Amino acid sequence: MKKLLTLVLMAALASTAVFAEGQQEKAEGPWTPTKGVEWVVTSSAGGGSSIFTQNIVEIMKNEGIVDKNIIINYKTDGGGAVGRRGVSMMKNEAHTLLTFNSGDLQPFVQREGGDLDGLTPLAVMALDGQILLVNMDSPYKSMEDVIAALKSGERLIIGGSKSDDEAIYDAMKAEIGGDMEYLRSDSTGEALTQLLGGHVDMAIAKPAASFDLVSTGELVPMVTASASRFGEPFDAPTFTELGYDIEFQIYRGVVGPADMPAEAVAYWSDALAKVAATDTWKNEYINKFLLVDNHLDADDAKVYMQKFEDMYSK
Amino acid sequence: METLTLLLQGFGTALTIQNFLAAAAGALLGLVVGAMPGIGSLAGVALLLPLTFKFNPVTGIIMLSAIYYANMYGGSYSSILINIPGDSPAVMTAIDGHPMAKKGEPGKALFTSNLSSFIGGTIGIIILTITGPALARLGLKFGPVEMAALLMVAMTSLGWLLGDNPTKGVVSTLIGVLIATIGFDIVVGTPRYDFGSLHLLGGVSFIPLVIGMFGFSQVMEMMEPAKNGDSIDMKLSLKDSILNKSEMRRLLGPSIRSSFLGTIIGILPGAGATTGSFLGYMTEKKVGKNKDKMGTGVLEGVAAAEAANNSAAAGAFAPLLSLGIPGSGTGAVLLGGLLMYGLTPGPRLFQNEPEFTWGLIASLYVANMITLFVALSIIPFLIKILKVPVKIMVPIITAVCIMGAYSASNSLYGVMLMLASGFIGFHLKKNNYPIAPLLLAFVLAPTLERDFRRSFLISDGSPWIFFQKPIACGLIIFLLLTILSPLFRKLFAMTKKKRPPQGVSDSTLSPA
Amino acid sequence: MKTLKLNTRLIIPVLTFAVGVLWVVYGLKNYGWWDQGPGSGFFPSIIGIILAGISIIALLEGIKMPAPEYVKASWYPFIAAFATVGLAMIIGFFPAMFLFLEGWLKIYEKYSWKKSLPISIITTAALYGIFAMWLMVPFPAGVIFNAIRG
Repeated sequence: MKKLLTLVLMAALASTAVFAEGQQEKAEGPWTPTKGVEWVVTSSAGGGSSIFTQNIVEIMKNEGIVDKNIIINYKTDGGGAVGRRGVSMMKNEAHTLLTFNSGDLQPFVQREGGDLDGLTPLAVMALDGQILLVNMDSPYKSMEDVIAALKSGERLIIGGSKSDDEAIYDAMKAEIGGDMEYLRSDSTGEALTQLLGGHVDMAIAKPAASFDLVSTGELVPMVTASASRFGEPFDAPTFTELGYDIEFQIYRGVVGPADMPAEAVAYWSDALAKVAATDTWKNEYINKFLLVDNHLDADDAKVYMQKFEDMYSK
Repeated sequence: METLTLLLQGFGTALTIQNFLAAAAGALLGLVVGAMPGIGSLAGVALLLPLTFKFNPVTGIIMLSAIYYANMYGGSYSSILINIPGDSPAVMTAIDGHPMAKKGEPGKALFTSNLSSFIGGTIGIIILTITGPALARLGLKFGPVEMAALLMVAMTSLGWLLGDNPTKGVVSTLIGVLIATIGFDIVVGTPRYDFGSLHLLGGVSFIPLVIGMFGFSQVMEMMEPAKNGDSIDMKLSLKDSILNKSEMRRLLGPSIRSSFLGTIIGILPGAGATTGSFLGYMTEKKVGKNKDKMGTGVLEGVAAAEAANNSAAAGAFAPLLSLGIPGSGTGAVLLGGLLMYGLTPGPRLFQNEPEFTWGLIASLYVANMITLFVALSIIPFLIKILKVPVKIMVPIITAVCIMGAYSASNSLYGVMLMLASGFIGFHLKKNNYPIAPLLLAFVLAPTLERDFRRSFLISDGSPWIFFQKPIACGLIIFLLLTILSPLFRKLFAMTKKKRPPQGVSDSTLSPA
Repeated sequence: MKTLKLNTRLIIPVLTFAVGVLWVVYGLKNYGWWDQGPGSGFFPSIIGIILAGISIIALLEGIKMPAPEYVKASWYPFIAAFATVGLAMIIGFFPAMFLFLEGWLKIYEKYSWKKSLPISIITTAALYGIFAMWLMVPFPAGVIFNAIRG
C-alpha cells in the first residue's frame, strides 16, 4: 500500500492543472461557450498539429479570448480516422473543435469516405511552404538539371512525408513526367535523413524542418511549390517561373462538426481571428516555425479548403 | 582538449542545488509515469514537457532529460514486478526480469535494471561526447537497403526465443507479423487488411495490445487457485536488493557490451530502442557466459536488455543534436522542447553555441546520475508491491489495465482491443504459445518489410541492390554464413566424428 | 473450484490456419503480389502461407496433447471489465472504477468493509490523481453527468 500512498502524494504534488468547473451563467447577447471545450487532435502529442493546437489554446487562455477550460484530446485511432469521423458525426455540438490541416483532409477525402460537408471550417490559421531539396553532393545544381535528367530518362527517387508532400510529387509526375518514384516516410525528418544519407535523389520538405541544414549548405533548395520565392536561405525558383503549373501551399486550420450552430461558428471564427491577430501568435508560432501568416475566417476558410478537397478527390 | 574544458564548464553550470532538485523532481515524476502501462516514454515526455517551462533553460532541460531517463527506467519496473512492459523496449526486460522477481529476487532485478540502464546511458553519452557529429554521419549511411539487411540478420536470431515448442513459437511470431500488416501500407500509400473498419485503418496500436497480452491475460491466470502465485513469502529488504560482488561482475560484461551495441543501433535512423534492446539481448544470448540460463530469470538478461535500451536512447540524441533530425517520436518531442528554449539543434549548434551544447550533454549526464540515485532509493517501496496479496492485485491490475488502455488513444476502442488481446493472450498462454515473439515480431517486422520493399523501389525491382551497397553486402554475406554454418558444421561433424557442438561463437552483430 | 475443458489446443491452430488463409486470399486478391518489386500483398501472403502450413503441424501435434484445463473464475475479470466499461459510459469512469474495485473485494473476495473500502478509495484516488488530474486524460464523464451539466 505504501507504493500507492507514494503515488497519491506525488500525484498531488505534481498536479498543476485543476479542473475548474466554471459557474454557469446564462449568457445574454452573443453566444459564448457554456462548458468546457474539447479540442480533438488526430495525431499524437508532440507533433506539428499538437504544437499548433497548444499554441492556440495557450493564447486563448492567456489573452482571455475564451474563458472556459479547453482540453486537448488526442484521438489517434485509425491514423486519426476515428477522431475525424467522430467529430463530423456530432449533432448540434458547439463545444468541440478539431485541428484539421491539409494533411488531415487528404486521408479524410481519399480513404475515409468523408468530405467537407461533414465539417464546418472555422479558420485557416497559417500556410506552410514546401521546398524541394537535394544533397550538397548531388550532381544536380539546379532544377533545370533535374528536369533535363528526367527528360533523358534518368530514374529519380523523391523522398517526402506520407501526408502533404505527396501531392507535389503527383503534380510533378503529371506536369514534368519522367521516371520518378516516391519514397514515403513517416515524417519530414525521416525524409531528410534519407536525403542526407544519399538514399534518395531529392526530398520534399517544409522550411522549418530543414532550416539549419539549408543554412549550412548541407542541403540545397531547388524549387518551391509556393506562389512566390522564399527569402534566404531558401531562395529558389518557383515552379511557375520554370513554366510548370504547380502551385501549392499547405494549410493549418481548425474545423467544427457539420452540425455546429451558426452562432457558435461565428463565435469560434471570431475567437480564432483574435488569436491570429496577437503578437504572441506571430512571434511565438508563425515566425518560429517559418510559416506564412495567412488567417482566413470561417467563410474564406471553407472556400480555401474546398480547393484542396477538389484536388485530392481528383 | 577544448572539448573537455567546455564539458567541464558545462558541469559547472549544471551542478547547482536548484538544478539538482529540479532533476530529482523530474526523475520522480518520470518514474511514476514510466511505470504506468499505457503511458510510455513518448507520451510521458510529451505530457510532462510543459512542467519544465517554468524554469530557466538549463534547469528546464536538465529536468526534461531526467524525465526522459526516468521514463525509460520506469518502463522496466512494471515489466519486472507485474510482467506488464511499460513500453516496447521493456518487452525484452520482462523475459528475464519477471522470472527473477518470481524467484524472490525482485530487488536484484530492479537494481540490475537501474544500474545497467545507468551504464548504458553513461556509455552512450560518452560515445556521443567523443565522436560528436561524426557518429551521426555514420548513421546516415544506413538507408533502406542497409536497414533491410541489418533487420534480416536480426530476425535470424529470433529463433531461440521460440521456446520449448518451436512450432508454437513460429505460430506466435507469424501472428505478430500478420497483426502488424493491418493498416496503412507506407510503401504504396494505401491501407490494407482494414476489413472496412475505420479503427483498423491506422493499424493495431501497440500499447493496448501489450497491456492485454501481458497484463490482462495474467490477471485471468491469477484466478487459478492451483498456481501458487500468492504473495511471495520472502524477506524483501533493501539489503537483499543490493548486488554482491560476483553479481556485479556478472552485470558488467553484458552491460558494457550491450551499451556499445545499443549506442550504434540508436544512431541508425529509424531503428530505435526496441531494436536496440532486442539485439542487445540476442547478442548476450549468443556470446554471454551465462547464455544457457538466459530466459529463466538471470540478471545478465535484464542487464543486456536495459543497457542496450538506454544507450540506444542516448545514441538517438546524436542525429537530433548534430543534424536536427529527431530519431524517434520521443526525440521529436524533445526537439520541440529545445525549440521552445530558443535552440535549434542542427549542424550549427555545436559551432555557434558550444557552451550550451556541452552544457546540455553535461546536463544529460547529471540527470542520469540523479535519476539513478532516485530510482535506487525507491526500490524498497517498489518491491512491497509483490507482498500485496493476489486477491487485491487482481482488481487493481484490472483497473490499471483499463485506464492504461483508455489513455493510449483516449478511446474505448483501446480498452476493447486490450480486452480482446487479453482474451487471446490468455488462451495462447494456456496452450504454451510464447507471447514475447508475437510482440517483438509486431514491432520489428513492419520495419523490415518497409525497408525491404523500399529497396526494390529504389532499385526498380532488382534484388542485386543488396549486393551493390558495401554495408548491405557485408551483412547479407554474414547472414548467409549464419544460415549455412550449421550445415557446414554437420558436414564437418560427419567427416570428423567427435566434435562438441557448442564451440561456435558467432561474432557480435555489430554492423559495418 | 470448478474446472472445465475447452479444446483450445485444437481450436487455436484451426483459427490461425483460417487467419493465414484469409491473409493470403486478401493479399493476392486486393493488394497485389509483385509490381516492380514486392507489392502490398507480397509479404503478408507469404507469411499467411507459412502460418497456414505451420498451423496444420500444430494441429497434428495438438491432437496428441491433453487439453488445457480452465477454471471458471478466469472469466470473471474479463466479464467484470466489460461490465465496468459499460457502467463507466453511464456513471463516469472513476465512479465505475470505484464500484468495480469495491464490488470485487466485497462480493467476490468477501472482504469486510473496513478492509475493502480503504483499498478501493485509495486506488481510485491514485488513478484519478495520475491519469485525470496530472496527465489530463479526458475520460468520459458518463451520460448522467453530461445530462446534468447540459
